[in-house]
Amino acid sequence: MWRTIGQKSTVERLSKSVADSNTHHSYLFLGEPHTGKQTLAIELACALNCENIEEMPCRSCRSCTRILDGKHADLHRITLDESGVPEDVEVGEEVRRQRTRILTEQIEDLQRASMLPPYEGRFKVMLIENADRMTDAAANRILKVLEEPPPQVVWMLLAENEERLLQTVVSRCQRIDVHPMPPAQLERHLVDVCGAAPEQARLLSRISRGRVGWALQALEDESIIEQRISRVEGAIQLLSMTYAARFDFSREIDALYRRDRAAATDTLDQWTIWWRDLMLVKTGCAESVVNIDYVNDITEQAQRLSLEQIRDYIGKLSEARRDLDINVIPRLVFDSLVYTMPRITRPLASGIGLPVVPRNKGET
Amino acid sequence: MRVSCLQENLSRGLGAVGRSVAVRSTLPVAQNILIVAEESRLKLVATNLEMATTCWVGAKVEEEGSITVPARLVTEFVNSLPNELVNIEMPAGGRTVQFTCGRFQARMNGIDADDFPPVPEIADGIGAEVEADGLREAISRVTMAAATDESRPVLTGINVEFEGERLTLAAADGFRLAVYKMPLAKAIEGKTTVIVPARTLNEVHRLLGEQEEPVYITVNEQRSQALFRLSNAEIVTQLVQGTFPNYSQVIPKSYDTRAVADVSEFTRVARMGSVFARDASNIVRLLVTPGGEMKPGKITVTAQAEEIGDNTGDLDALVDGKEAKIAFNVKYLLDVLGVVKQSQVALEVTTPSSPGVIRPIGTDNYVHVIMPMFVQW
Ligand SMILES: [Zn+2]
Repeated sequence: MWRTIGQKSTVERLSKSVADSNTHHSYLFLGEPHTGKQTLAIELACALNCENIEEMPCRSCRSCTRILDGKHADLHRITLDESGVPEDVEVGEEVRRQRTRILTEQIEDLQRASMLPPYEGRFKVMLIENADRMTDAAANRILKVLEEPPPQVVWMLLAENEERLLQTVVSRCQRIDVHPMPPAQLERHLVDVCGAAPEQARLLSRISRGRVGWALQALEDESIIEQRISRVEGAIQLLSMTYAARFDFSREIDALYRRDRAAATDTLDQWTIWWRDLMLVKTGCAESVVNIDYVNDITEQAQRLSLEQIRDYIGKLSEARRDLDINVIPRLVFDSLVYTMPRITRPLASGIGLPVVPRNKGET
Repeated sequence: MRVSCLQENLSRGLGAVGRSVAVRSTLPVAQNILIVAEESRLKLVATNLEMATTCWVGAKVEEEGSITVPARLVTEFVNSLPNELVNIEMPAGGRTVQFTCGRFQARMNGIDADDFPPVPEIADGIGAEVEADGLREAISRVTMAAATDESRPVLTGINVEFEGERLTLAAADGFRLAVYKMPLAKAIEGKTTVIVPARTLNEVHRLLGEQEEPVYITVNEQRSQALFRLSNAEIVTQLVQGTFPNYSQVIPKSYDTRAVADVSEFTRVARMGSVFARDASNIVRLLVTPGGEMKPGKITVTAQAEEIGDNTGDLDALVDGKEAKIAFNVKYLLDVLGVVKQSQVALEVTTPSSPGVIRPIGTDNYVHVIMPMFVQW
């Protein structure tokens, strides 16, 4: 049974192609982080190798369980190495490059493996996460592989940003768009299937922006919500901080970036969402804000900023993301971000809107 | 699991499977060796998902069981032990294995045997039997010509063709081609062609050691996997998928000049040239001169290095045909001279721009083609 939710027509299409033995040799799963690209890809890998013809993927046969447990010899998976480097270690340019790009050597390992037939299953699955982070050389290498696909090998590329991929790579793949779920649908799913409390479901569906993976993780793991709160509050407070305090903040986030890249970029994402919320309120679309538990703060800040200021700063944030991608020195990026952020001098009224709904799983 | 065996035997077993352990793998368990205590022996298995090697060690099994342990750790530990009885113990359902030998003791944390990638079973398909001696020679003469660059994966393998009573191994990397033919112990029906990774055949060669018993080779129906059964180990290999280039057209059908020379002399002169050619893209020029009434023919080997000067060496040869010139990468020349067992070889040349051929004298089972280098003469 497919567990992927919210992608009904895609699942139907994939399921039929597996049943008809009519699968493509390469797939591109495109979508925002935590929308379920990986879950869908892994399920397709299960279906391709499932031993239970009645229901592929059955998720319970030997092959399915080995794939789901990450033990199957025919699931080859590469991703960015984002594991931490201790804070006090000077990271060289080479290491920094490795951590932001999929390298040719990684693709070569897969290419080598792809020339040999499956070891224990029916299909070898080559899963490339962050495929939009390939170096040009790596992208050209994968293109060569996709031009002459070996039999019994299925390539699955996972990517967030189509523009960062070679068009020729995109055109060789069966494209699967993985969309965020409409918040209302996700909210229902969280209540009906996952047993979340209604308020919790409403909050999660909104702050997850329809990204199923994120919402489910947050439901399981309270620390995710706590982290989000601390990141959002950071964004709130920065606006009224002195420049000295802002540069301290920049130093902290730079250290975080070196230790845990994903956490630092998530912080930037939280800022972006915050500023988008400011814009929504400013333009009279308050009902669409993401941070529904902070509506009061958003409203108050929006009153004190001009639309132009808000718009400019959103531009700065997206520039910053691009700069980090091309390996501009992170500290410079963060310094510039905290420096150019508009400043609200009068202290804000305290209090943070709606209380955060506690975890309430399984009580329904 | 409770089992004991001699350190020497265990060490040999671990050494046999050791090169099949995955060096880097997305599957951590592939960096472990599977240890299975069964009946009256210990089974050791390693796989890098390209080849899986299984080896058996005589042992006294008191309680059956299985576990995987980190390959490097267990190998280094066992190799450091005195040649005495090694006791291996693990409580049922446990994951920590205890090794005891004399006053040495070690505990290792393993990973469940169930997590270990299963060794593919190869039951049906074509089966062939070959003499160990012949296979050793065949492998040593062709694998050096396989490509090490991964950009054309089929060329990193050895093309292995079973047909009737004959087994043919061929390797080519675009610069040279080596083809070796040998008899099968029993004729098989029809023709089967597969591409075996060069690494696997090198490992078969290593494990053959001094073995005298024949080797059994089985290729599965789908032509995706093959089994090499040796007297002390089994290697299952994945087969490279794809089509090997048709190499027969690369072997020149005729020659204008043929020089028969002594292998050791040829090697000596070529090696001297290689010292000078090191700074000149490894190029050596070969000039073949026919003999006259009273003087023998010869092969002159010249290397030119800008910095350190030239070197010329020559050797006597029995030359048939006119004078000829050809330039080679000296490394390729030395590679082939290094594996020929016969005392003499023939060098066959047509023009400076067509491939040169080297064949041992006294047998027609081996052909080695080297592409020429283009140089100013
Ligand atoms: Zn299944």
